This record gives sequence, C-alpha cells and structure tokens, in this order.
Amino acid sequence: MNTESNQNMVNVTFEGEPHRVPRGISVAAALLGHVHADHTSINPVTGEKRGPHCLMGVCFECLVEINGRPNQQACLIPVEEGMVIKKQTQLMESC
Amino acid sequence: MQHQWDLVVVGAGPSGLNAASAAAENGLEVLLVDEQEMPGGQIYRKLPAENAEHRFLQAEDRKNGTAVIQRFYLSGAQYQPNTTVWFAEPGRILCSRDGESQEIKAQYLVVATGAMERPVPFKGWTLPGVLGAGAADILHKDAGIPPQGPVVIAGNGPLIPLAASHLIEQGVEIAAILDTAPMQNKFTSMLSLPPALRDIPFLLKGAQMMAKVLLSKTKTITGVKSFAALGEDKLEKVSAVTEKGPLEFEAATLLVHNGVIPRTHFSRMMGMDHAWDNRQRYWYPKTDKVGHTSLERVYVVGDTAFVHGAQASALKGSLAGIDVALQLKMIDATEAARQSKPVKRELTKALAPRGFADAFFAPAKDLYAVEDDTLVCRCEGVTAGEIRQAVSEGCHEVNDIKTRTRCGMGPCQGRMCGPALAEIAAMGLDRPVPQVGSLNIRPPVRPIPFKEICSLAPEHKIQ
Repeated sequence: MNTESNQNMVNVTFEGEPHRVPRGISVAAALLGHVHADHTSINPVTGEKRGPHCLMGVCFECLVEINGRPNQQACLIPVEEGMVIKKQTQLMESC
Repeated sequence: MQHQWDLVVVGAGPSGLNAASAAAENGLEVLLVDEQEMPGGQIYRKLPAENAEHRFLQAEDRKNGTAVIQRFYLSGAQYQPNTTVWFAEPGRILCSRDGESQEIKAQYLVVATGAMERPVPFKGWTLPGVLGAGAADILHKDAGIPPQGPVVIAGNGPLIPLAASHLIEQGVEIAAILDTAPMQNKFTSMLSLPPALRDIPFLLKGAQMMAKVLLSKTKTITGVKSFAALGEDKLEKVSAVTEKGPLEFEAATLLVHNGVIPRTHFSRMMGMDHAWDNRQRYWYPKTDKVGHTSLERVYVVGDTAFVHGAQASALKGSLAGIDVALQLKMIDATEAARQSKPVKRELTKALAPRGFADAFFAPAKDLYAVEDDTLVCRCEGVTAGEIRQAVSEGCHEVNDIKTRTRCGMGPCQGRMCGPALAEIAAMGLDRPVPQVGSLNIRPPVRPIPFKEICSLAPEHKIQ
C-alpha cells in the first residue's frame, strides 16, 4: 500500500492496534482485506467466532463496536479518520 | 405543514433510480432514500466513486450503470443517502440517519429493496472465511480487494461463473469449484433455449465466463452432493461429497452461492400480498405490469418484485415511475403509453433469456436436506434438528416454530434462516412450502435503538 498517497488513506484502530486503510472503503472490507482480522465478533448465544458473510447488510454477522457504539454493521459503514473499531464481544463478557 | 413528496423511492439500485428518474422527469417532486452513501445499489455499488472504474471488470456493466446513475443525477430527483428505512405504510416512511429517526410523507411509495443471495445452511457455514459469492463481488467493487486465497467456490447459480471469472482475472488461487447443480438442469434448460436466442449477447456473456473458467484449467467438480466448511475458529478446509467419493481442499475463503432471491422483509412488513414461485422456490410480492402492489399507492420494482437481473430491473423501475406520473395526472394516458412503449419493448427483450437462465440454475430438490446438527438460525444458534423436533411436537407453522425455538428472533430478523426454516418444516410435514406460512415481519424492519423510536413526535408514532 506504499503507493497510496496520504490523503487517500485514513488511520483507524482495531482492538487498539493502529492501521492505515484506504479512505471510503467499508469497515468490513478494511477488516477483511487490510487488517486481516480472523474474526470480528463472538456470537452471544453460541460463543462461536464470527466474521463478515454477506457484505450487503443482510446477515448481521459483521456487527462490531465503532467509536463506542455497539451493533454497528461493518459492511454498511465507511471507514473514517480516527475510527476506533472493536470486536463485538461485550455481550459475552457481560453474561 | 410537514412537506409531502409526490413520490418517495426506497433503494438506489437500477430499479429505484429509474423509478425516481422517470417520475421526476415528468415534473414530480421525488425523494430517493438509500442505505448506501452513493447511488448504484449492489450491482453498481460505488460506481460513482473516484477511481472506482477499474473495479468494474465488465465494461458493459460499467456503461449501463453509469447511464442509469447519470439519468438520475439529471432528473431533478433528490437523493438522501446513509438512510435506513425501518417502517413504511401507504403515505409515509420512518427512517433513521445519523442516529436520529424522522418521518417522511409521500403520496406514492416505490419499494426497490433489491435481491439477496439465497441462504442455504450447511455444516460450518458460520465460520469466519465463509462468504457469499456476491460478497466477493461487493468486496471488489467496494474496495478493490480480492478474497484471500486459496478460494473454494461452491453451490449452483449465476454468481458461480461470475465469481470464478473475476478471481481468475485477479490472479487469485482457486482450489476448486464445487458445482452442486442438478445434472438434469443441463437438459431441462434446453427447452427454454429458443426464446433465449433472442438475446445472443446475454448468452455470450455467460458463455464467455464459463469459457474463461474452462481455459484456466480450474479444477471444477460437477455432481457435488454436499459440502462442508471445516476449521476450529476460522475456515481451514472445505470437504465435499461427490459421485466419486469424498474430497477435501485447503482454503482460506469459501465463496458459497445458491442463487438470488427477492429481499421481501420490507414488503412483508408493509403487509403486501405475496406469491410463491415453485421453480425458483421463493416468495415475491404480487404486482401488476407496472409494479403496483396489493397496497394502495405502493409499488414494488426491480428484483424485489421477481429476480430478473439488472437490465430488467431498470426497465421495471421506469414503468412504475411513469405510472405514478400518470396517477398524479402530470401526464395523460396517451403520453404515459408513449413513454412506456419503448420501455416495455426493451423489457420483453430483457426477459427473453430468463427462462433459460432460471432453468439452467434451478435449485436442487434436496437443497434443504440439512443435517440435524447444522445451525439454521445463525443468530440464535438453532439447529435443523431443533426445528424438526418442534415440528414433530406439533408446531406446523413457521411462526409457531419461531416462538418455540427462537429461530428467526436474532439481529438479522430471520433474513438468513427464514427460507430454510420454511423448507425444513414443509419437508417434515410433507406439505408444500406455502402451507407452513412465512415469518411475520414487524417494524422496525431493521434494528434501531429504542431511543430513536421514543424520540419520534407523538403524531409520527406507529398506530
């Protein structure tokens, strides 16, 4: 990604780790293609690890926490400068 | 006085865009609300974005999409992006944007919520790394990112050759294509070939994709009976049961596809009459020739009305837009007929090859012969066995089964399990699918925070 100029990239964090990702792509695309996250949430019922599946807002498997707001569909939200992204696992932790 | 639009369109794919354009070109005040940040829907996703052109591999798609979007920009219709519509009834919608909900009034509504990949459960389908074939297409259009290889593509439907040809162009390693299409499709589809010959470019497009796969010498296994995703916390391998015995492939990504079905949660929530198509095995809202539904002043267009593809969708949208202009007396019947005539002619042409394509990719009869321990409801963790148990204990209707098992009660609101739930129940009872009913879909049709509902003005609340 060295060829990308600064203005075409934004800084985000995922699980506290900084990442530079192309501006305008969806959070899910960033997590799959740039961050290479193994999973993005833990299903609160089964405890299984889950990741993006449909990428068009249907399956709700890509739910993550963005800037402190839980239940955000990563496939529908574009990345923005300074975005703080976390795996959605707090439902499991509070149970 | 709150503003009332002549027409509000929900969804900015080709059909929604053209419905808005056709109405606005005839002088109507039109608002198009859309979940995405720019028009195009899934098929033309991100087409208007800077530097997005190279992400459209088919020049023809790029050309068609650009034309539809340009027409919309010039039509005078207003566009409200990043908006989630969560309730609608004749005369108004309730929608959420930037964490706030509002009511929008409209004399007429056009619903253009598009289509989705048919969700079919199989062992391991919840593992990270298992994506829809359509998801790979979206990933490409959205971000220019290919899925991580090696990739296995599995299932039966039009997106299989599409996804495969894209991966080959991008140089991604394909471990195997597992083709589950019933063998008889090759023959039964021949009966529908003559009308399809009216659209040679369509057939050529399909043939070119298949030729690309053949020439690449990608391992393609036909007659696959079933497949499964294996791995501890993410996809590691894909196994398959074939006529020649079991097979296994290392894979980082499994792209699965079982055809495309209308997205009917919105039309269901509105309470429209729906019909069941026994060959394609999906529900669709009943419409007349211009897309008018069983609800007064409400239309459904595009693939939501029946899956006919992008070209037909765009044309169906135009017909609805023209009809709304006629109903609001902005044009007379003669003018409406004059505008509709070339659109109808094009639509007939666009529909000509559908019978062949639909038969060629017809779903297998045992598509939902899901094993008992396979998860059907991904959100609530309900297995096929639990559904069968509920059926054997006397639950004969899908909503009863939902109450008993929680199947369909999670965040996706039954979008991913609804079709399988009905098919498994129908199979267990040896009844046709329509006789086990369909899930009741209630507002909010997409999850929103309670505080947004509570903060609506009293006169805007749902009665």
